[in-house]
Amino acid sequence: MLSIKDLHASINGKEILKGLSLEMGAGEVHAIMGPNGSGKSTLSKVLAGREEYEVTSGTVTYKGENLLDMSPEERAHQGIFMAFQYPVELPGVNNTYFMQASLNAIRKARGEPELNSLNFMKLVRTKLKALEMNEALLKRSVNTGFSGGEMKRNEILQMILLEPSLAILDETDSGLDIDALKMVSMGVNSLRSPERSMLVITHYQRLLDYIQPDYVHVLSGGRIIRSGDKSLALELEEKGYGWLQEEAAA
Amino acid sequence: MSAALLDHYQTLAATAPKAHAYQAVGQRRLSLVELPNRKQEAWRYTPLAPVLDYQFAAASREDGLLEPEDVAALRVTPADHVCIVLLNGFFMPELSSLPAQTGLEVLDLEQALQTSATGIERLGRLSGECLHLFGAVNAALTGAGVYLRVTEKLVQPLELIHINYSFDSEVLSNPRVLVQVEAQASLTLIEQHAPFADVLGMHNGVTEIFLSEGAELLHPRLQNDSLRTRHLSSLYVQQAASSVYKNTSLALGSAWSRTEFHLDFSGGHAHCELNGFYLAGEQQMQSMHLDVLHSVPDCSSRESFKGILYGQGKAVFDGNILVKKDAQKTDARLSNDNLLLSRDAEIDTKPRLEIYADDVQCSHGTTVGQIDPEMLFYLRARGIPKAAATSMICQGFAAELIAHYEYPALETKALSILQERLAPVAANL
Amino acid sequence: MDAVEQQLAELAKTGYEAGFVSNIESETVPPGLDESVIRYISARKSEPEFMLEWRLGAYQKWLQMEEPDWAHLKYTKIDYQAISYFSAPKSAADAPKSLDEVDPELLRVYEKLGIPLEEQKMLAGVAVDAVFDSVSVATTFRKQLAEAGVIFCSISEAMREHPELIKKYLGTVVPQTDNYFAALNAAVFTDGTFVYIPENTRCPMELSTYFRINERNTGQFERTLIIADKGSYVSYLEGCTAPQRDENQLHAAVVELIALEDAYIKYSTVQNWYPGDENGKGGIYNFVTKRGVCAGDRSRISWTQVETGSSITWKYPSCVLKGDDSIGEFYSVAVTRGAQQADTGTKMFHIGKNTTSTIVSKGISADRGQNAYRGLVRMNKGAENARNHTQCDSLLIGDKCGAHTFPYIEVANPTAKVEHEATTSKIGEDQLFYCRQRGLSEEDAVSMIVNGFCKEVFNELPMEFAVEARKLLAISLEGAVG
Repeated sequence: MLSIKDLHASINGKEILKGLSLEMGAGEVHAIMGPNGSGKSTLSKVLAGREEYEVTSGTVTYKGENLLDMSPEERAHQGIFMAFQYPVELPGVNNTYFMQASLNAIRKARGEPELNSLNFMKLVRTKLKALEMNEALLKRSVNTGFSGGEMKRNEILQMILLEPSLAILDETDSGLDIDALKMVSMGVNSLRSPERSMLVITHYQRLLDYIQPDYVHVLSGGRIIRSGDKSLALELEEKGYGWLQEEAAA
Repeated sequence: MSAALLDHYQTLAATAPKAHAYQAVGQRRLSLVELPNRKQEAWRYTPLAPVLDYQFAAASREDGLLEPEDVAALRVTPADHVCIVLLNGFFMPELSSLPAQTGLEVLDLEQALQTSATGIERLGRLSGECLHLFGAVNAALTGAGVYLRVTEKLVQPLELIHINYSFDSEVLSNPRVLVQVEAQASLTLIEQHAPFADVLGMHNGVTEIFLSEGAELLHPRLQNDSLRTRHLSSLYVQQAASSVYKNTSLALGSAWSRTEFHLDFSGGHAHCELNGFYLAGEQQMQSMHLDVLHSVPDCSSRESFKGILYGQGKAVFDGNILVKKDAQKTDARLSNDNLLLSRDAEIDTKPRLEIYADDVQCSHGTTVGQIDPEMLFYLRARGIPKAAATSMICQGFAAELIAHYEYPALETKALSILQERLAPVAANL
Repeated sequence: MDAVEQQLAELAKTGYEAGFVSNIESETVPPGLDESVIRYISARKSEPEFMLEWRLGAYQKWLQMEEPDWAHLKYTKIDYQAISYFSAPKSAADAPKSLDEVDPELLRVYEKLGIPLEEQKMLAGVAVDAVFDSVSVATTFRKQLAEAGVIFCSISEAMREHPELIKKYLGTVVPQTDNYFAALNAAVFTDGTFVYIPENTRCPMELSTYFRINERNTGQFERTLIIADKGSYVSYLEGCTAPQRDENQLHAAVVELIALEDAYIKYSTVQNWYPGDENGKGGIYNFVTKRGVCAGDRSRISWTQVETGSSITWKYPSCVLKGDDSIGEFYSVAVTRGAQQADTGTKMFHIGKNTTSTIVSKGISADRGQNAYRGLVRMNKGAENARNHTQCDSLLIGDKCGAHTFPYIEVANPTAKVEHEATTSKIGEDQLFYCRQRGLSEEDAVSMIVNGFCKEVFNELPMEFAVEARKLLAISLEGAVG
């Protein structure tokens, strides 16, 4: 699904990712954990194609193609979805209209027929129920005046609608209370399938109680310094990141 | 009529003692300038009869006579602080207290010009070709005033008191204050325009302030001239990189008053705060004019002005923020809020934005209204009589701004003047 | 609506498709302006004597006036003697009674512009008083309107058929000498629209006039007068497009609206005249005076405008709120790109008690476009409890454009309340990225964000116009980012 090899990336001349490698197979859920400033958010932005980040060396192959050559929208068309840590407000842009435009842009790029408003609404309503989301959010402007929890649910709703092949969750748990966290996790888990991979980026292991990862990686100083299974997350919860960083330094 | 007035001022200019080359600039301007009139955008809304109906005579150094005790009553700083007194525009060492302070030079402007004091060559650089008749008159009569130069971080505030008081009526004082705060130096300059006698005269002051890199100037100002005085203050400020300027100007007194702020940035990461409050009651006219120029990137400015109007008071607020093409990342916010307390009061306000750069955050907001009836009701429901409640709300409205003085003695003084003026108004509403 | 969308889509592909010169034979007076031209116009239109006097009076005053220079606009001075003040399609002389009689060439012009009259009849239910150059040549839906008692005709016709209404109202809102361009219009206006809605009548359909500028060097001097009698309602649409030219073309229209007691006039404009080439050359100069008076209690006038065209726009649709409890509204989207300049806004004069006004202005500047909002809110002494809320937002795209806000607020009544807010922003990088991550192209993302920015204004437009406006905005901003 995704193969990252010796990735170096920088912003404003400052190198953040310093030789990151990661292999993800179809149907796998990988968790990336790490302290603040380790490069977690940079990784998600580079994968989604944010242009401010410059990839200085290394390769990223997605479904056998060079991901780094693609524009952000092409990546979205190819099935990459990123749930933003800080979803962006689009004042005056109706939420439903936005999601329909997004879904249709992706369908169109894949040569699938576009959905008309009626069918789209039917689809949204079924997805909404699962998330216990308030339908009023559909009528508002995208993320504008949303609470933290509402924004994150809105991200998950979009993810469920777009049915990506690779979902990147960028600190989706930050700022969520326990109920919202459960809801978001339920949404994520409902999407788990043998064809779909997920990259869950988080600072805390709390989220991993709800979304069980197949692999856990620890990111520090722009590189993955340890990989393991679910137990690694628990170990980190107990001991913190310090011991791993010391080990890596040594 | 207008020709006679222009003649009058041209004659004043021609007969003034020559102290500096800049006088020629004023003189030349006087021969070209039109009288201020309401068709000019800068004077739109401003009634001009109170200043154009008189042929004010130029003040002289011998005009007034005051005792040091008279000054002591007006001061807000302790007696051991530096306090400069300008009487009818002229520097009065015998009325001032001038303890020596390292990092501070205080010179009579005339003396500074004669001795070519360091930095004095900057005189006129900001006021330039003079914007209008009165600017030209001030330039043409250059001589009165004071020169301040700060080279260190000064802890003690410096007080500057303007008193207009002459034996004759209809006298025009023309001080020029030149302030140079050198790199990394800082100063608090408390400026008062104090009433002394109820004379019909005009204050026509120009202040030029240069802030070098990293310099800081805290500049609280209180204009409380007598209710017959005409008052015009033109402030020019230039801020170099990383400098900070905070001005809080209250206009409470005078029959006709105009305060002009001309501000420009010459280096990045500088910050400016202009706070203003005006009280226009009886037949007063108060006007505030802002001309904030963001010509370099990465600077921020906050302009916050409020006014209370009552009686037949009239106020004009004219605030312009101009962001030039290269001034990316400019952050400028302007607000103007007005409270109208009477039938016959009138406010004209025009907050303007002129923006030629795209990566900026600029906004302005303006409100005009009366006291919120809900608020008044709330106070009365808590047992506070209507007059006291009204007064309290007005004080609160003004207090937010006065707090920017950051000097308690001056805050107390301003609030008590306000209280005195507003109490009878509130009682009669 | 489909046809319109299709046309707009084609427009998008081909650039300014509307820029063609039609070949209809025209009757044109030579360039220049003096009393004889005015006499010719008046005679040519068989006007009553009082109209000639009125025109000549305006002309005399105009001669003594100076062209205003206070707006935030730079343009080459207009040579008023180089303009031809009258041109009429020949086929109009014997006034066609129905579409069948209209010059087929003219009909093809409309089709090319995407406004085929017949289709419009069926599709939109909109009556069209099409102005081709200076003389009205086609009016539809007459019968249905006549049944409702609505008068909808060219102003020339109104002068002949309803002189009492013309005499009573013409020039009462925008006096002959109101300003330089209005005085010029009063002297030389050649045609325009007249609407009268009788008491307690809801106009059965949206009324619409499409303006065209077609004759070389012909200034357009339209005059529109709309009177909504007590308790009536009318929605009026004005849309424009113009053929491509090399010379600058002057347009100085005057629109007067009168709303009597409980009447409501909704006036919507989509202005898409030729903006000139990238240096503004050849674009339309649009100096328009639009004003409405809420003469009666509880009356309401609402202006909505989407201004994407013209090289120079000078326009301040205003409301005089005389009647107690009357309402004035101004909703505006103005786009300037290339070398376009707009100085536009509104004036709200609050005279009556409990009068309310709302101003929503959205300015978008791209390339070297200069966009200024200029507005006046005046609360007179007698305007008890009057209210105004103003929101002015500017969006900047690129670092060579400008956005300016010049509000004037005058309050002489302590019970009046005025709130004014203005903001400036650009399209955020993070907004663009968010949309693109969801699969939208950069172009679509910009269009979506800009349309969101303008939403409050588009919501005020009638349905068909709103669709057209959104498309127009997207087309107008194509290639502006990046």
